Amino acid sequence: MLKQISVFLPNQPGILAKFTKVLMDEKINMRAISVAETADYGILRILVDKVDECVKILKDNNYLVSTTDVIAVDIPDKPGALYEITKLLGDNHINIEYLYSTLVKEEAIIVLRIDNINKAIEVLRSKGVKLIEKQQF
Amino acid sequence: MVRSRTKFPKEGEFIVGKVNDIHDQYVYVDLIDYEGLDTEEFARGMIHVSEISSRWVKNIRQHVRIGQRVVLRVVRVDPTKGHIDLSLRRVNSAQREVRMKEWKYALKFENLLQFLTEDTDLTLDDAYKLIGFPILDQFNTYQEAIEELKESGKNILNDIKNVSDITKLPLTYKTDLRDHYPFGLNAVPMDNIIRIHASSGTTGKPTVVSYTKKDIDDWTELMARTVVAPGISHKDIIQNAYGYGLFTGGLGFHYGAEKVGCSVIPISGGNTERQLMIMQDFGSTVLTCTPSYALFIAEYAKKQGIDVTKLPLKKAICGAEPWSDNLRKTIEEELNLDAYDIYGLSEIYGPGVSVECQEKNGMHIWEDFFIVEILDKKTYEPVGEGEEGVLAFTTLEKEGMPLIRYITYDISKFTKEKCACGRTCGRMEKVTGRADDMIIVRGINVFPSQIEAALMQIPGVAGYYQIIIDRDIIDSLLVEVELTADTFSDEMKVLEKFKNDIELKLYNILQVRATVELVPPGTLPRTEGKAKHVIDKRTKNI
Repeated sequence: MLKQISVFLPNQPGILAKFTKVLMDEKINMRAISVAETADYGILRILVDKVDECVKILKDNNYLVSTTDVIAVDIPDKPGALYEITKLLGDNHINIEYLYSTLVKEEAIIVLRIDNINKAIEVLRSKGVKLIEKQQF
Repeated sequence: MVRSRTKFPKEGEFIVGKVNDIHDQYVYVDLIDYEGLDTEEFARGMIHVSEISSRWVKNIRQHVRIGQRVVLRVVRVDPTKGHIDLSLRRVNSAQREVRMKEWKYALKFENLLQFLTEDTDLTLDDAYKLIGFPILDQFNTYQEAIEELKESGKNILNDIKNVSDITKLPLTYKTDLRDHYPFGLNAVPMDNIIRIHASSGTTGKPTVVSYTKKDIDDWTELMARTVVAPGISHKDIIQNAYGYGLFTGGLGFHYGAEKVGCSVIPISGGNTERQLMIMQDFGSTVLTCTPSYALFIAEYAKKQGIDVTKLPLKKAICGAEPWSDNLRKTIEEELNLDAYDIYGLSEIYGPGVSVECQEKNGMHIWEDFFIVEILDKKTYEPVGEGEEGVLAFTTLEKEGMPLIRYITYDISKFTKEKCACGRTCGRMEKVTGRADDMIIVRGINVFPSQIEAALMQIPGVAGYYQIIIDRDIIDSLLVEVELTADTFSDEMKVLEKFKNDIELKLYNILQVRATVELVPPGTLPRTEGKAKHVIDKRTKNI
């Protein structure tokens, strides 16, 4: 289980640059990022190495921030790999709210936001799916 | 009986009682002015033979008789047992006279209250609570209250000799309507009310107006004149695109135009595609709607490749929102017709208070139905003729909810100068603004306080919001709401639901669609004291 940081950002020019500069200045490294957007605003979701520090810095800079438990699975970078995971969860009636991916070296990492996270972990583990456990991956 | 505020009289007090039963040693007295114990219909007291007279009492029946009203002094009260010991001998003739007189006044006062309850849903107890006791607090005794009312009441009548004396009467405010929501200002019983309309109030509750049969007939007459003044006749086919419903626009035009004998198409507002189809197929000669909707129809037609200038449309009566002469020109050119301004407000019937004649030089107010006043924006003192101020109306014919000196908050001017059309009714200028913070969005009145009230009802909404109104042919209402840490979620569907919930709540209260935009906390302006919540960008485009 990993801690994801979600940030509320208005959908306007320059907002992301300002945001990433804050992280850069504080030497916080992002391992994964995704943005969901509407016409007015976006929800930015990131995985970082130093979660608590990052949350504090963002709050100090007046960002609206929350943290959420997510799981990250390490899957082979090949066709059908994501199918295996999603089918497994679907068969067990586990709903995926959203997901995004990142690459580490040759490995594909899929970050999943799931309501019943403990059940998902159990199901995935029982099938030998490799879960990322450390925030620093 | 005369209602008392307490269940039992106080010791030492002089009271009026009625002799109920006489024994050798005791006299029992009904004290119907007092409630007494919960088990009793009213309080009962007792006079011991020793308290009957200061002289020797040979036969108690020589001093009192059954059914007699007597003034008595309260000697002792035991409220737990309901025992009241009374004395007849401790009352001298002067005390008796004063108390009896006061009691008769109280009875008279109660008759007045009883009279009040006859045409309302109030019980006598309510009338005492709402009117009787507060008046008693002011005047000490009912006698003083009645004497004072007699005096000043007469003076008020003596003071009003001609129309200009109207300034001696108090003003009526929109808040008076809110305070008496929904039917408190009705002047006739509900049995006589045949229609109820409503418009926006300043809070979550609407402003309600009740009409009698005569009111509807009168309004129809006013609207008939209003339809005729711009040169419309029974030969015309009127496409009435004002909203039908609680809003007065639709039904007001409908009745007036029917009275004139026009062919009325009760299409109501919206559904522009259908408006255009009917306009073409039925050959409408008159369009009645808000000015912005007229323009919207024109723009829509262009996009659909329909040349509205070739249609039989001749005239439009546009109102319910402010519009400029520039917008009039545009509408007239785009739709190839003559557009006339109309004014009204639901509190004063609805549309049809005034309208432009074919001269298009001010709106004739039907002065046989209203006394018109223009008052200073701040002091509410009358201003000179032709000067700008707030419009106030006194209704002369209304029965359901007559209003005296009702402040509209609409800013205008009034002139009695002769009009080339020959009508002798004075004219008001186009409304140029508001003396309060009301805004008109797509013809619907909106108060920022309504929006605030709606937002405060939604959990998770912080106190910071901003209202932005703009116009791109038709008005848009945007409400920016600051998100809080409690309401923020990493899931889009949660935020979208939050936003939709606010939009729905706003629509329910405002009756006009608003778009909600969620913004990060701390981004909306915070000013010292009252935040500036409303930005109206339309001023340039109206």
